[in-house]
Amino acid sequence: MSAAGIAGWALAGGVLIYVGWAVVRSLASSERRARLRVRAHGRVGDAERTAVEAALDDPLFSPEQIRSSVHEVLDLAASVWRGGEASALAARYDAALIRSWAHSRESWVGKGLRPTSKATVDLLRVANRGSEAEDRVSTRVRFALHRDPHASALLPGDQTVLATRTVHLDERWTLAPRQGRWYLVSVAGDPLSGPVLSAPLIASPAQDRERLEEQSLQELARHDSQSDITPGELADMAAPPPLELLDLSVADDRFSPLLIGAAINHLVEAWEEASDDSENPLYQVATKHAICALLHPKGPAMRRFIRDATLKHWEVREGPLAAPRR
Amino acid sequence: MIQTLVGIAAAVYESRDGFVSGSDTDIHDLELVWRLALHTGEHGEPRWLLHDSTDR
Repeated sequence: MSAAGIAGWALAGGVLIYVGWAVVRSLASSERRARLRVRAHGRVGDAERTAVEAALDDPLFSPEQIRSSVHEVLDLAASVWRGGEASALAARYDAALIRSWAHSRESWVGKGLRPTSKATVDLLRVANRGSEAEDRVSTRVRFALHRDPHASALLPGDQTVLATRTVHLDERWTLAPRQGRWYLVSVAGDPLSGPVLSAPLIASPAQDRERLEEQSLQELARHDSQSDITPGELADMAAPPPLELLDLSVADDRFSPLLIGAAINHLVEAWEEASDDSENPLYQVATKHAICALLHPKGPAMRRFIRDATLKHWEVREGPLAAPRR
Repeated sequence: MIQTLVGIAAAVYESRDGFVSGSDTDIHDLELVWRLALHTGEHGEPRWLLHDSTDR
């Protein structure tokens, strides 16, 4: 066989392998999405019940109130699409986000947008932590938009009779309360992402297991903070950092890996909340310098956002008895 | 002060205008070095506060 023939077979083989890989990947992705859809179905029921329970503590959490707030945001976005922005929009905290979202959908879907029916709003996550800065609801918002293909010319076939005129959107919108009303704080994120479907549903601060555990650990360690013993008296300074910490925690609960782990978990949550909306919870657990390092790791011009964050692992690299760094 | 190595899985975005939109499903691993210091809260409770963070 000639060299050109071998090269031809090799190319055909490569193409076949690539197509096979793409098909397998697509099937795996479809199966994963199907599993997540089933999981979301159960989750929506649980979140709805949690919201009803939370509404007993704070009426703002009633599912009707949440849905009405989502519909209100969509109506305001529709006013932006019509070119006659509603006067109510300017006075809202989330005016900039609603405008940006509306314009981004125009550049993505096309011009001449208008909702063709009322949006379906399913609750995915409910967190009633008892403070405006940390209360959140995440919703799955599904709706259809009519688009004008002649004004858009964005999608294939836009100038033909076969042009797409209706687009279905399936999004995750997160709302936070301000002065007794829900406002939009995020339009990013997959509505079927694993972390949002497994996030704790918190009907009241008394059911906020993570925070209650952290507070209990702090309470247990509080007496040790009044001790006169210095850390150097408690541990072997030559031990590896994780052992050094364990040694210390035996005599002083402030160094308990459980307490430090709870603090790190709290930090990850507050960091994600700062990505959506308020940095206030982050100020409770980090210094100003550290917040700047988290949000602007590459300098002030670029901001880093994280979503669907989960703490995978943590380990001590340098114990409290290490010599201070210069 | 303690230094910890923290591994986080998250969808990570970087933006200049502060607007993030879309349904990105790509989850990335972030490895960060966090320096935590022991402080005392309002009610005398111990609190580990983040003092510095760097990407590993």
